[in-house]
Amino acid sequence: MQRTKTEILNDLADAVVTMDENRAVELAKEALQANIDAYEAITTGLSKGMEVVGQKYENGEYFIPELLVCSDAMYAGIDVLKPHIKADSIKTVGRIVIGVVEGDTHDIGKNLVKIMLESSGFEVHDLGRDVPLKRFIDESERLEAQIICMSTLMTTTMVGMERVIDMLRGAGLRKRYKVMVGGGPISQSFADKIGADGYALHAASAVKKAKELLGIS
Amino acid sequence: MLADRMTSEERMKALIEGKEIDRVPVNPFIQSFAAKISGIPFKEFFADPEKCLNVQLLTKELYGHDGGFSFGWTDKGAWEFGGKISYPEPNQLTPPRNVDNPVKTPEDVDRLPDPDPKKAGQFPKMMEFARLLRKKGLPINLYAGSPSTMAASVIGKERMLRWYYKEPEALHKVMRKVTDFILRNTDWFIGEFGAASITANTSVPMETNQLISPRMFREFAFPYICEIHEKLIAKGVKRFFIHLCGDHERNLPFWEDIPITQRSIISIGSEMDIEKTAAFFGEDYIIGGNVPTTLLQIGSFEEVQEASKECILKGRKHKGGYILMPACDLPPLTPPINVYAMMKAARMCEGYVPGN
Repeated sequence: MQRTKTEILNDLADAVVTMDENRAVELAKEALQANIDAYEAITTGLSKGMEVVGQKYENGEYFIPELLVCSDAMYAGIDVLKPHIKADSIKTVGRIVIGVVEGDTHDIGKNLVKIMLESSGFEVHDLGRDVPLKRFIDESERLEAQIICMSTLMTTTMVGMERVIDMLRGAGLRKRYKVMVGGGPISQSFADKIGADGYALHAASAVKKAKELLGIS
Repeated sequence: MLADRMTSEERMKALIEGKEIDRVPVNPFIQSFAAKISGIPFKEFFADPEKCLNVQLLTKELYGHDGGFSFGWTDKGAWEFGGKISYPEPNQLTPPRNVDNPVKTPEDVDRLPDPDPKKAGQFPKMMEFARLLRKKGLPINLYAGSPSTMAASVIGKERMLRWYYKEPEALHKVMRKVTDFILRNTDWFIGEFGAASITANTSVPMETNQLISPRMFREFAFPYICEIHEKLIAKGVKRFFIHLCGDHERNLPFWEDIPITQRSIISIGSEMDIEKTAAFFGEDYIIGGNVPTTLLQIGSFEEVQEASKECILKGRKHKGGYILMPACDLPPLTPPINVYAMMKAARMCEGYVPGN
């Protein structure tokens, strides 16, 4: 018996939440066979699952391994669906440039934030790690980003975040971008001190903060 | 404000013995900060045991603090098991970093060597450093892990976090390999210096609940930490220094079953509470911590002094004893005056009887 669209979408979400990569792939194929719009299958199936994962992480039920493996299931499903996305169905909620600041190669946190932002509909351009400070600005200009996200795990490199903000000011670009910072040594008071627009304690809260900065509910 | 009436050695001995001391001890957890304030390049600090010790000795002389001396950096494992590292450039204030990880697939695990600590990575220089300490009659620390942190260096942190679910068997094989390496090194150190005179250091950054669940800690970290501690105690190690890096609140119940000798020191990060942790471990243990490192780096002298006082007020109530410490390694960019803020806060608390 043909399953309903709702059933398939719910199962896609469930495959993500249960870390079942194989099932996510099978369900993505099923969605296509059932003529469910590929983009809808991502946003209301897979991404919905990732939203639940984010909540479980905030509630202390899921931790970083769970987040990563759930995201692997999500991306496995996305890989099946992506070639079938109609260009005009894509609705991006915002464009973000993200990276780990110069001198630091710790990128797990940044990767998690990227996963959560992408699954929430943001277009995320990942500059990687040990990113030269000026590159945050150059790439944001080139891509016409709205938010610059910077991450670091080290106290010695967090000073780079303030330098990027100073460089934005110096170039007369400060008001063009919202700047978000995060990472182990970062705190709200540090974010306030350097003039950042937002600070997120962890990946799940980064999504909320990004939406808040862009005035999206 | 009282001047110190005891030497640091007298103070720490009295603390361990549970006696009254002149002030709350302060261990600023100094490592590469010593390089920064002395002006030597970080590469030299991490490559030359003699220069490393010299600047730490001078820093201790400057502040009169109660901390010890150490050589090496946290990310042990990749280099030792066949990977490559790069030392910091002249303008970089960072430790050496892994260029690659020896293990990328489960198949790589079966090809891992069994390195000899006498020739592997940081470890020969760690021994060289310890020998310098012994010549000067200074206390020696023995690296006791953690195995998880070493495994993360061998496998790569993000890959390891996935392997908890995707390749648990391969992960256990790596844990076995690194645990055996750690034990070969402890045998080497114990053979050279004797077990009774060295303090075993276990630091657990990869086991924080900010990364893994208590369930993962129980399955993957706990058995190996226990094994190392049991074997070290059986060989006569009398004291441990445990650094609970990050939030370990939900792992604490398992720490009840990890063998730790009495009068060992448990230091905590800013994510944990001094009083709760002290109550959990009890009077047989000394608690250290936990002035936030970010505050130390960016806070004012007054803010650091105030934060230190708050820590002292909590910690001194613990009958087991307390040491004022940062939440983790002192950031090298800490304004030197802020280390003095910690010292001043401790010296302003007159006379210290643990529990009062």
